[in-house]
Parts: sequence; C-alpha cells; structure tokens
Amino acid sequence: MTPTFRFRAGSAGILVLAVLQFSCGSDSQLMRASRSASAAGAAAHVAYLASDALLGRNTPSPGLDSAAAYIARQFRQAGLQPVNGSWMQEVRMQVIALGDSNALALTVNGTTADFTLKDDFVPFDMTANRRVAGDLVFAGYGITAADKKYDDYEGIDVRGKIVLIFRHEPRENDTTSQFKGRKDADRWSLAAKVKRAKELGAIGLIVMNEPLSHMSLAPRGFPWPSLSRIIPKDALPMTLMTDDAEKIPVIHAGERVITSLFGSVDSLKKIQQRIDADLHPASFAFRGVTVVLRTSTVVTIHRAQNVVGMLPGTDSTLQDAPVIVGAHYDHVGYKKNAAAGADSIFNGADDNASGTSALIEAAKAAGAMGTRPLRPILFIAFAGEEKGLFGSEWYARHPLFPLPRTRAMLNLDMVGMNAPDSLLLIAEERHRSLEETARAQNGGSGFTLVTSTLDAGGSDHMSFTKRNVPALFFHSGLHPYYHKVVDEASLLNPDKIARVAGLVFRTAWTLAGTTDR
Amino acid sequence: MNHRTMLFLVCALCCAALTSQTMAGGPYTLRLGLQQGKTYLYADVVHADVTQEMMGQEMKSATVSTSLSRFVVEKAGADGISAITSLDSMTVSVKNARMDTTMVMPDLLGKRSRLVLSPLGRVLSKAVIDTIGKAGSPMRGASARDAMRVHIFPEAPVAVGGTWSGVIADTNEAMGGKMVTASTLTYTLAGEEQKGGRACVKIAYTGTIVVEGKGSMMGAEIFTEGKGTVSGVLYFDPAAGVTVADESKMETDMTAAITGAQNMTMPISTVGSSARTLRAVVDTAP
Repeated sequence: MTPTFRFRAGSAGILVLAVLQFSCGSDSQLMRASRSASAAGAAAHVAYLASDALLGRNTPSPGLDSAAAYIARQFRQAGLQPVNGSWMQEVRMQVIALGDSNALALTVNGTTADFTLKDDFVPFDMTANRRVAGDLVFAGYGITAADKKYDDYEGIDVRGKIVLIFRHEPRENDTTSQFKGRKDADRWSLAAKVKRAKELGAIGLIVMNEPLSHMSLAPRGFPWPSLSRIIPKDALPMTLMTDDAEKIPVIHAGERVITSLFGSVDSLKKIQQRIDADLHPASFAFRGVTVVLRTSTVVTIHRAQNVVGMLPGTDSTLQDAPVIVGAHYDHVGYKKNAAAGADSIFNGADDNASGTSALIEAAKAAGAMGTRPLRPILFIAFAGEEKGLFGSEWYARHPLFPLPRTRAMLNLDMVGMNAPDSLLLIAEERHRSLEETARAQNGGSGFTLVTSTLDAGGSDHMSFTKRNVPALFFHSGLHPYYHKVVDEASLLNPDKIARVAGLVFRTAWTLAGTTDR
Repeated sequence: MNHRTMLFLVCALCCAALTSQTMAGGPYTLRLGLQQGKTYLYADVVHADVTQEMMGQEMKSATVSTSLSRFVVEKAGADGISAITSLDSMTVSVKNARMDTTMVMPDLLGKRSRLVLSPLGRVLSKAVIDTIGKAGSPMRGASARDAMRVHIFPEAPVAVGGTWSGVIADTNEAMGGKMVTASTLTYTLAGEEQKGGRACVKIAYTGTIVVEGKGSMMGAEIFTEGKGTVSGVLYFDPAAGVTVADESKMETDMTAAITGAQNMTMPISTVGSSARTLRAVVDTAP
C-alpha cells in the first residue's frame, strides 16, 4: 500500500507517522502551504507568458528564451535550487536537409553502374552523412521476431556489409498470417529495421518495395524539398538532435536497382513468393556484387531550454529518486502571413501558460512548507512540446535523475478553462494509484475529478509513461480557442489555476513522502 | 497539447477522400445514356490504409468511408448531361493508435453540386450549389467527388480486346485550399458480363495519378504533392449508358508539408480500394 499521511496505523505506525510528519508536513501544513498558490500569482504569470511581447513562445525563439528566464526567476524566488548548478537544461534540435553528394553505384561481376538520385534512389531522413562501401547481403524483410520463430538474419553475416531488405512485412495483405497483415506493422517500422541491421553490424541499408504486394516500385525515401517542385524548403521538420555516429546510410531504391541486382522484377517476385509461402527466410549474400553508397545531409542545430528547479529531499537514500512536476511553457508562435492589423499571435494562454503558471504556484507552495519531503521534488518547465514533446523527450533521454528511480511524473497542460470546478485526471490503468493519491488531496481544491485514459492526451507525460515512469496528467479539456490566436489571458480562470496548483503540490508532496515506487 | 494528432486526422480523411476521387471508369458502345427525369443512386465503400512517417516513427490509420450518392439528371442531350449530385448519407470510420471513431457527416448531406458531363464522360463543368459548413470542411472535396467517378470513353466503337486512354483532371477543395488530381488511365474492353442484373461490358483500367495542392489551415500553409497507381474494373451497361459497378485499388505516395508556426514534411502512403455499386434508378420526384 502506498503510504500517505491519511495512513492509520497501530502504535508503531503512529511513531512512524510522527517522524514522517516532522520531515514531510501534516495535512494542515499542506493546506496552509497550498494557500501560497494564489489566483493573483497565477494571473500575473499568465499575463506575462501569454503576452504579445513573447510572440507566441515558439521553439526556439527569443520569446521562449524570455519566458525561460522568467520561470527560472520564479523558481528561485519560490525557494527552489538549481540542478547541477543550473536552472536550465539545454535541449538540442536539428533541421536536416539533403546534401549535394548522394551517390549509389553497384558493381556486378566487374561492371559498375551508377544510379540517379530521385529516379533510382532516395535517402530516408534518418540516414547518416557518410560514404560506405562493401559487399551486399539480401536479408528478406529485415525482421527478427523470436515470438514468430522468424529471423531474416539467421545464418547470414552482415557485419561490415550493406544490407538489402523489403520495406514492409511478410504477407502484409493477409490478416490471418502470423504477422497479422499490417496489424503489427509498428513492430517492423523502418526505424526498427535500421536498428536491427545496425545491431548486427551492417554499415548501410537499402530498402525496396515488395513487388508482389505493392503496385509501385518507385523510390520514395523522404520527400526532400530539394527534390520537389512545390514543397518549400522551410517545411523541413525540426527534430531532436541525434548523433550522426548512431546512424547508417539508409536509402529507398527503385526498379532499376532491383533489375540490376536480380535480373528482373519477376525474379524478385519469386523470392518474395518463396518467403511468403511458408514464412521461411530466404536471405543470402550476393556473389560478385559490391556497393558504394553515399548519403549526404546538412544539419542546422537549434537550441532551447528546459527550466529546472529542485526542492531537495531529506532521505539520503532517495536523493536520486524524485517526483517530477512538469508543464510545457512553449506554444506555436505567430502567423507569418497575417493580414495587416489582424491578430497574428498565438498567445497560448491556456496552452500552456496556464499549466506553467500552476507549476510556478505549486513550486511556491512547496517552498512555503518550510520543511522538505523524503524525496526531491523536481519542477520542470519543458520547451518544445508543440514540436512533438521535444523538451520532455530530451529530458527522458538525458535525465537529471535516473528514470527507473523516478517516483512519478505529474503533468500540467491546459488547466485554466472550461467549467471552474471540473478537472480531468488522465493516467494509464497501471498507474491508477497516482490518481487515488490526487483524489485523496482534492478536499482542499473541491474539484469534480473526472477519470480519463492516457490515450486522450498527447502531452509531456507520454515521454515518461513510455519509459515506465508512472505519470498523472492534469487537464481541464479542449475548447474552441485551442491553437487559435484567441487563446488569450483574459479567457482564463486564475482561481482555477491556483486550485490546480494546490492540488498538484499536495499530490507531489504526498508522493515525495513515500519510500516505495 | 500539440495538434499533430488533429493534423494527422485531417490528412487521413483527405487521403480517404482522394482514394475515392481517383477511382474512375468508362463505357462500351459507348456513351453515357443517363436520362432526364431519372435519379441514379450509388453506394460507395472506400477503404484507405494510411501510413504517415516522421523520423522513422509511423502513424497508421485505417479509414472506411461508406456513402450513398444521388445523381439527379436535370437535362440530357447530345451536347451533354447535366446532373445534380449530392450525398444521402456518409459515415467515416477512423482507426488508429489514438482513436477508434465513426463520424457521421451531417454537414455534407444534401449539399448539391451541378455536374455537366459530355456523352464521352468528360467533365464539362462543375459548380457548387450549396456551400458546406465549416464542420464538414476537411471533407469538403468529397461532395464533388462524383466528378472523378466518371470514366473516359472512346469516340470510336470498341470491340473486346480494344484499348483506349484518357486523362481525367479535377480540382477539389481539401485542406483549406485546392487539390488538383490528374489521372492518366488506359482502358481495355475485357469482355461482357452480367452485373447487378444487367448485361454489362467489363472494362479493365490501369493508370497513374498525380496530385498537387496548396491550402491553409490553423494558421499554417499546407502543401501536398504525390503520385500513385490505380487499377480497376468498370462494369458498364452499354444499352442504358450507365455505370453499374466500379471496383478499384490504388496506392499513392503523398507528401504533406506544413510551414508557419510548425514546420513539417510528412510522407503519407495510402493503400486503398473503392467499390461503387448502382443501387437504383428511380423517377425523379416532381
């Protein structure tokens, strides 16, 4: 059972309770400290964070940097401490464009053929900026699935070689096969196939469509703007920074490459037919074939900051086992082609100046306790949520405390609108105990708490739940102003934000008073 | 809360609409013979499996659209057939990792477009009569998709084994802008067959699709481009000059690119099928 301060125990338990209360605070202390989370404070934070001056807090942008500095000041004033000497955790992002020296050459029995970018092959966006050369191995679908007793890599050695594979899965149009048609296709995603090939020592990967199950054999790869007539260059997505050393060249090859290697498309169809017939791999090393493959990328690096502040814990055995309270402070910026005089700034008052304000007010309440819990409480304002959970994903990849030791993550996202007394609690079924903890602390806030499932919300808690960190998401629901320029401070309910902050503070404090996970 | 899920849903719906738009067919001795004063009711089922990729992460969505279309012929003659098209019903089911939803599209129902076709199947004109409300905006193009359900017939009589080709181009509203679709199809008169109680010619077709579009949604500029392949079989009643059934498969590789507050370039692959069946021919109510 998860101990809380409502725990009723025998006399030995009372002694334990007294000790816990000394170090962690009683219910009345929690309520008193909760009152430090004020509507006036919340209103002031929202007024600044959602102001036009910050131009919608896009990631990255000067407006976002200003917001980060503001939040760090608030954390300091609340009595939090920096982590490893800093209030900031740098989040590195990248935009990858296609470079100008991409090449594919096959030498078959001494005769070399060069292939053309776009018509014959196209690099994927996960490709490395590198030239590789080596022998070629055909590895079927590139799948290792122990549960299906299927391994395209069984009996072949791909170390130091370039691997040629099909793009999808065996019998993809047959839902009755052990691969269930396309139903489990996520398991055989290209990223998974690249990872597997790399684990086995492959230095490059060439992917082709299956001629039996796909009408088109044209190389697709990534739709690079430089290869397109109408896609603008600034449409290239920003992604989290990854180390080029972790990548290998990966391309999608078309019909001319297939014909060069197999003699004809029909020959490849026969191989596919053989594999699909009894789901028995037909991998082999090409004889007399060598490949020279170069994929070239140009990377532009961007930076933003997660803002971090910590209230240290008292238990020396739990110093690396915090409770995290988080909220993203970024939004989506402003319209670049707005009509003159029209409102062009996405202020993001509810999304998510409201959650950030609640985060700050919860930190103030924690600071007002005048004591400390057993575990540290780590407050994080995440950047880049709107880009695809970048800040929380970066934290999860580069945690300041080990994730397996992290007690829980409480996420605040859009908590300032809709019915004043209604709040959604969103958690995975396996993490329902967090919801129980929050419900037990709801007396001081008086919300009607509505249980929902994690599927309902794409927000920063997901970076934690997918790594098995228990998470609870506080959310007051979508509304017509969502991601519109009219999501402004005047529409928010500061009293509700303050009450959410109080509830989250008490929940975090209670969890930080536990020794189990 | 990020809105990628919402954009994905919009893209999935548009790909589903495209799947139906790019399935087209053609006649036998070979003229459209739709009659003034008659109403033709067609049932359509469109499946689209959509895969959207981003840095190796794939989002998959299976969409099934079921609809009943009404084709009211207001005028027919040697210079063309003018008909009012509308939807009597439409439901769209979307399944993906985050949702399993069936949506009824009330805002699309009964919204009329006027379509004028030549006897050879070419679209002479197309005009929206009833504007579709904002709630139905992602599927706006669907209301006019009958324009792409036509097939091109040859001028000269064609025997079994004979072939001809046609280019069908169309512009529809999608993603807050225009999407231009061009299908280049090769037809083969494959034989004769009973279908739906009618003596039909069976016409096999294959071809390519090219799509380009530009729009604006949620403060972002959206660009689309792509190409694909289509193959199908058209059952055409040459005596009545009416399509009885049209079954096709298609595969497209599209790109949806977004600029503005968010920048994205999303490859979207769609594998789909479409089946259109003539349900009834009735006298148009006065």
